[in-house]
Amino acid sequence: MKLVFFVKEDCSACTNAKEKIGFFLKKWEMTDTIEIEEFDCSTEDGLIEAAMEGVGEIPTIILQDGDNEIGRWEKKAPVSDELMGLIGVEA
Amino acid sequence: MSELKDEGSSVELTAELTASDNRLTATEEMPAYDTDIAMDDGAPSNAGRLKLYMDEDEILGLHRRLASKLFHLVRKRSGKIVPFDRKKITTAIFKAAREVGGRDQEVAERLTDEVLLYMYSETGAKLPQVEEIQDSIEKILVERGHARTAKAFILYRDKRARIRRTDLNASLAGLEKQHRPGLDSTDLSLFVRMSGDDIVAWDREKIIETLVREADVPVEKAEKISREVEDQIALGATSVITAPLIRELVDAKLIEHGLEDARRRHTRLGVPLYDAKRIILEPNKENANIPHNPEATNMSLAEAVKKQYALLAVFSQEVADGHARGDIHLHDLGFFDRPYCSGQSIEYVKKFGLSLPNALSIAKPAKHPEILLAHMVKFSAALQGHFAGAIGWDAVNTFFSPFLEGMSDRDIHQLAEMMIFEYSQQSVARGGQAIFSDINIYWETPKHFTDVPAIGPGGKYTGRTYKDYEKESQRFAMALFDVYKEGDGTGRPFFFPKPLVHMTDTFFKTPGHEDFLMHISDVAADKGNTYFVFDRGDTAKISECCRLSFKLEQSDLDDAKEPWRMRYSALQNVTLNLPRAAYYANGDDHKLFEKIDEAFELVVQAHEQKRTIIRKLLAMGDGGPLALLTMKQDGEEYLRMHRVTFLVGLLGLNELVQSHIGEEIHESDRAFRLALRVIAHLKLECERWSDKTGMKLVLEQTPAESAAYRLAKLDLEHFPSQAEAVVKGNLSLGEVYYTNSTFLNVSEKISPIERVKKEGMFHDMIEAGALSHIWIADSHPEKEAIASFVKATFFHTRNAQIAFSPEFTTCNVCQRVSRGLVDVCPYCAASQISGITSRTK
Repeated sequence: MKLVFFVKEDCSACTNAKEKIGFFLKKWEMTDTIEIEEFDCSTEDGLIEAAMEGVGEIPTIILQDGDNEIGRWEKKAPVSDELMGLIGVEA
Repeated sequence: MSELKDEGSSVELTAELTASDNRLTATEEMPAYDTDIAMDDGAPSNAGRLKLYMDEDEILGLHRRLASKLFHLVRKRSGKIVPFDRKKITTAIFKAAREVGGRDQEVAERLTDEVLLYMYSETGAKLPQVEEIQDSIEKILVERGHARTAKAFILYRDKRARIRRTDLNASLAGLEKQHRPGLDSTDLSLFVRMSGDDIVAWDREKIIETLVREADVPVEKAEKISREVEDQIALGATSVITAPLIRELVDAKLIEHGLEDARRRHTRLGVPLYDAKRIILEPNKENANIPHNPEATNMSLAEAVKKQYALLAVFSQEVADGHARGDIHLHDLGFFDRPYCSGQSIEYVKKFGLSLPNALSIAKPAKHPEILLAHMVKFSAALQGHFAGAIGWDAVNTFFSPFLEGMSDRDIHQLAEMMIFEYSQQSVARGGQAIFSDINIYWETPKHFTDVPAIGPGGKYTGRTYKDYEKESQRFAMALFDVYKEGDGTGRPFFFPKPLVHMTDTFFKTPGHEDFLMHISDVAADKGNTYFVFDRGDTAKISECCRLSFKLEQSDLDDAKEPWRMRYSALQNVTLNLPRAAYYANGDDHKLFEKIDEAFELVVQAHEQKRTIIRKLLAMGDGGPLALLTMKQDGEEYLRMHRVTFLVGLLGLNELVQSHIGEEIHESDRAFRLALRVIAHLKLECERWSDKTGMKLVLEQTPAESAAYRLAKLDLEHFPSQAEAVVKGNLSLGEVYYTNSTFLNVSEKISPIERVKKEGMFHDMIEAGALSHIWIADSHPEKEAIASFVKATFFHTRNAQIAFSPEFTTCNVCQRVSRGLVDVCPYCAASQISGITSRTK
C-alpha cells in the first residue's frame, strides 16, 4: 500500500498531517510496509500529479492499494482509527 | 561661396545721396556691403553701384529710414488693400536664400531696403501690388549678384503661381488666407479642409507648430519638413487638400527623416472611408452581440479609433507589436479605458438606491420588487458603459427574496419574466447592444449568506436573515427557469441574462433540489440556457460571465456579512497564442517553455500598462471618465482596485501539443501530460509574477472566438507549414480557428463524460474560471439524462462548470423555431432562416 501526499512547503496543515501520519505509522511499525510518496504542489510535477489524481485542495492524502484508491482525505489528516482500519493494523 | 554671406572684402563704393542728417558728399574706401555677398556665380556685378562718402552704418541707417517710410499699404491679388509690412519682403528673400545655403538675415534686410528704394524710384508713392513687389525682388536679387537666391525665389514664385492657376472650387472663391502676424504670408492659394467642418487657407507654419507641439520635433527640422511637404503639395494640381492628408504627408517625411517616434506621436487616428462605409452599411459579422443600428455603428467607429489609440499611446511599442504579430492578443482594445468585467451584489442598489454620478435624478432604495428590478437593470446599463465585458449579479434569487414575501406564484412568475425580458431586450445601452449579463442562482441559501441580516423594501433590515427567506428564493429560482423554458415570444432561447446555477455540497442536501435540478436540466436540454457551476467543498464563487468567476477568499467571506461590499472585477484579459510557442520551439522542449515565458512577460507588461491608465483615469475622480467607478457610497470606491485580477487567457493548448509532439491532447498520455505541464508552468508563472508586480494574475479560458480566428490566421501567414498542420476548420474557405483554451478538439468524437473529466483536470489550475461544453446540436437528451450527467460531473470529476449547447433555426417568415441547423424552415419551407449556435461560446 502507498500513501500519497499532496502538499506545499508553506502549508502548516500539510506539515501537521505528515507528522501525524508519520507518528502513527511509526507507532504501528508500518513504516517499512507503507510506501510514502509526496508531491509538492508548488512545482510543475506536483501540479501535474494533482491534476491526474483529481486533487484540488491541499493537503490531500490518498491511500492506494495497487491501482485502487481506498481512502482520500482533503484539507485534513485521517483520523488514526480510520487509517489503522484501512491499512490493516489490528487494534 | 554661399548666398548672402558678407565676406567683408573691401571694394570701393560710390553713392550720391541726399539726406538731411548725412554728409551730402563723401568719397572713401568702404567695406563691401552689397554685391559680393552673393557672388555664387563668380561674376561680381558692378551694376547699380553707389558711390558715397559716409561710413557703412550711416548709409544703412539712412536706407532703412527712408525705405521704411515709403509705403504704408499694399494691394493683394484679391484686390484687398492691407497694411504694408516690409518683413514679408525680408522673409521672402531670406527664405529663398536659405534654400541655397544663405544664413545672414541682415543681408536680407539690406536687400529689402534696396527693393523698396528701387520700387519708389520706379513708381513713386503709388500703391504697390504684390506682383510688382515680387518683380522688384527678382530684379534687385539679380542685379546685386544673388543669382542663386534669385533663381530659388523665381522657382518658388512660379510654383505658387501654378497653384493659383488651378481652378478653385467656386464655393471657396471668397476665402482669404487669414493673415497671422509673424507667419509666412506668401499667397499660396491652397485651401485646407480641416478635421472639423471648416476650411482654411494654406499655412505652412501650422505644420511647424504642430510638429513642435505634438511630436517634439526640433524647430529647424520641423521647418525643413514643412517645406518639403509644401513642395510636394505644390507639385500636385489641387486647390484643396485635407488636413488628414497633410498629416499623412508629414508622417511620410518623418519616416524619411528617421523620426519614427515623432511619427508615432504625430500620427492621426481614424478609419478608411471604405471601412467606415462597411461599418455603417453592413451588419457586424464578427460579433453576434452587436446589432446593426446607428448606435452600434457609432460604437464600432469609436472602438476602431480607440483601438488605434490604445496601441499607440497606452501600450508600449513592444506590447503593441506583440499583439500585432500575434504572440499575444489584447482583448477589448477599443475599451482600453475601462476595466474588463464586473461582478457584484444587488445589495448595493437595495441599500443605496440608484444614485449615479452625473445622473439627473436620484432614486431612494426600492420599496417594491418591480422598482428594485428597474434599479438593477438601469445600474447594469450604467455599468456596461464602464466595463468592457459582462456584468454579473450574485445570488439574485436570494437577494430578491425579502421583496417576494406574500406574492402569488403568478406575480413571481411575472417578475421573473420582467427580469429576463428587461435584460434580453435592453438594446438601448452601449452601442445598441443588449447588456452582457449573468445572474447567479442558488437553490439553497449560500452558506456565507445564511446568517446575514436581510435587507428588505426601502433599504431597511427586515430583522430576519436570508435563510429565513429561502422558500421565496426558491420560488423565484423556479419561476426564472419557467421563463427560460418558455423562451421569448417566438419560443427562441434567451441570450441574456445567462443563468448560472451554483451546485454545492449543500445543494444536494437541500430539500426540493431534485425537482429543481430536473427543471434546470430540462431547460438545458431544450434551450441550452443553464450553466452548471460546481462549487465543491468550501469553494464559493461569484461568476460574471459564461466562464469567468472569482473564488471567494476569506476576506471576501468577511465582506459577505455586508454583501454590498462584494464587488469584483478583472481589469483586462490578454491571451497567449500557445501554438506559436511550439512553432518557435520547433520540437525543442527547453525552447518551448522559454518562448512561453517570453510571451508571458509581454502579457505582464500589458497588464501593468493597463493598470497605469486605469489608475490615471480613476485618479481624476468625480470629474474623470470613470466617475461611476470612484463613487464611495459605502466608503470604498466602487471599483476596488486592490481586489482586481488580471487575466492571462489561454488559447490553442491542443494545437501547441499537436505541433510540438505530433499528437493531440486526447490522443496519448504523453500529449495529455505535456498539456498539463504547460498549464502548470503557466499557473506558477502567474504566482511568480503576482508576487513580483503586486497584480493578481490568474489563468482564464479565453472566451473570444475572434481571437481564436485571428491568431490562427496570423500563424498561417507567419508560420504557414507548421500552422497548416494543426489549425482547425476549413483551410480552403479561410474559416480557421484554434481550439479554445484548454479544450480537447471539439470535432473529435470523445464521449461527453470523458471530455468533461479530462477537460476538468485542467480546471483547478485555471483560477479565473473554466468551462466544458457538451455539444448536443440537434439531439434532444432527456432531462433525466442531463441531471444524471450533472451529478456525475459534480461528484466524480474536477470540472468547474458545464453547459449544454443545442442548435436552433428560426424562420424569419413564420417566426417558428426548429431544433438543429437546417437550410429551410421545416414548417413553412421558407429559406429566410437564421441559425442559432453557440459552438464558439
